[in-house]
Amino acid sequence: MGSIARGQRSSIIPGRVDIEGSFDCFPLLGGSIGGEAYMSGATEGCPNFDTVIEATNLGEGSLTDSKKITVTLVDDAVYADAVFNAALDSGRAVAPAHMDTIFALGGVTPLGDAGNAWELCFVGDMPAAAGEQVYDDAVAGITYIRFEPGVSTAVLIEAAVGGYGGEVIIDTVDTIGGFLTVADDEFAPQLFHDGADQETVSVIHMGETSDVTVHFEAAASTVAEAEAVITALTGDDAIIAVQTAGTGASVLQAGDVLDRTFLHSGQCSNIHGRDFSATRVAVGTYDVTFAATYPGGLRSFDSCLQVPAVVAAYTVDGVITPVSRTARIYVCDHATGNAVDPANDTKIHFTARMDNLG
Amino acid sequence: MSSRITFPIGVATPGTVSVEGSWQCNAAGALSNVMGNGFTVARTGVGEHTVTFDKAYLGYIRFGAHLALNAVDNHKAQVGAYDPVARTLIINTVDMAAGVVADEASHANNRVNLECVFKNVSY
Repeated sequence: MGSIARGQRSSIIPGRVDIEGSFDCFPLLGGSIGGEAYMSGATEGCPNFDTVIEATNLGEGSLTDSKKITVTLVDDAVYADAVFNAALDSGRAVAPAHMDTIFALGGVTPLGDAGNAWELCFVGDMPAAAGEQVYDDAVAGITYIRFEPGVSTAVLIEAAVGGYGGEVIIDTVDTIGGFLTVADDEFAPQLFHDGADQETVSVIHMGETSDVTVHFEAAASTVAEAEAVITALTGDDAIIAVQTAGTGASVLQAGDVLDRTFLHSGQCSNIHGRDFSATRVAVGTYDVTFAATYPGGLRSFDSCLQVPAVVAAYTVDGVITPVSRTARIYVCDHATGNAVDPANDTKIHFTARMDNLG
Repeated sequence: MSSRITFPIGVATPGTVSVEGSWQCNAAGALSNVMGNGFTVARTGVGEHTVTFDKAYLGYIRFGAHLALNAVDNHKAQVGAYDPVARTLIINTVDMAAGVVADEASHANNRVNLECVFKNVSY
């Protein structure tokens, strides 16, 4: 029990009740990933393949820990084969500057440095003989890493440092048919190749409340291509599908966070205060819904953004809807006026003044 | 003595304490005309104001900061890092067009307004 004595406050309006609170902008992922998932633009070269997945600082802990999975869409026009190839090759010998990979094949060869806990690169469509895990195509100048059922080495990928430190991330037990499953008690996405299209890689985040599948088609390996495909979609699709209730597919692009991209409809995390819930409903858009126990509903509302670093973005209060007891908050890019998803660790703080008399 | 009839304000989260105040910006000079109790504030860098709360609380509920300006300008106050051990909260005044912290000109009406709500009881 606290013991700090403070004064009382009053209002000229009878029946006023203040609901004060704050929450992280990043929604919960349903509990299974235990971290943050990002879609980011091309930062490493991976030209012939569709997906680079990296996980940084993966460790045990709560959702607020610094964990993330970054899925990188690679633009073939920007990143030539040689870029990725050179990075991968050099990574096995020395730490490449831009890969930062802790990547062990067969528990033998850590790639990259210890700057990040670990990073995984999954590539498919390898023209290698069955059973090979690493294949150097000297003619094409491409190094492939392959995930196939029936490989002899039990451990395909393990975390070499940090996080799960040496714990098996993927082993052959997890490979089933043409699928590759990453199985871990806290981190359970699935990566698999579509049998009909060897260049299709899918990521499934298996949460308690939502599953999200992301397919990267060979024909849509760039952001622009992915956007074009998505734009043409009329329902759940082979590119992006929201498997549970949600608002449907969205555009995949640099800087998008996975469950933001897929409109997870998840409750925002790290909520302080009572009598409200906070939900991200669209890019940079949050609904705060108040309890139904205030007869007069919502009278006024103000919000404020807490940012980890100064940015030209701020919160503005949007539509206040007393009947539905909601206040909509937009996080806007000040320069463009567009709603934007804020950086990780950004919090929204607010005060709502409710009418408790009606 | 005030003669106006007033009514108590209820709060949804019991056991909370509000710390509210404001202060005048003075370009690169020291902050002045601090109003409110329960905190001190100092300019600790360009556009950076460090609020130090007098007491340690059990947790925070919300923070808020707004910038009042004598003349319309593209500047705002942004809440930065909170350190519960040091009991400090950073408030930055930001040039939104440039996205950088910036000092506000010295003027009696150029003020940062602060509203913080803390938990004062455990439950």
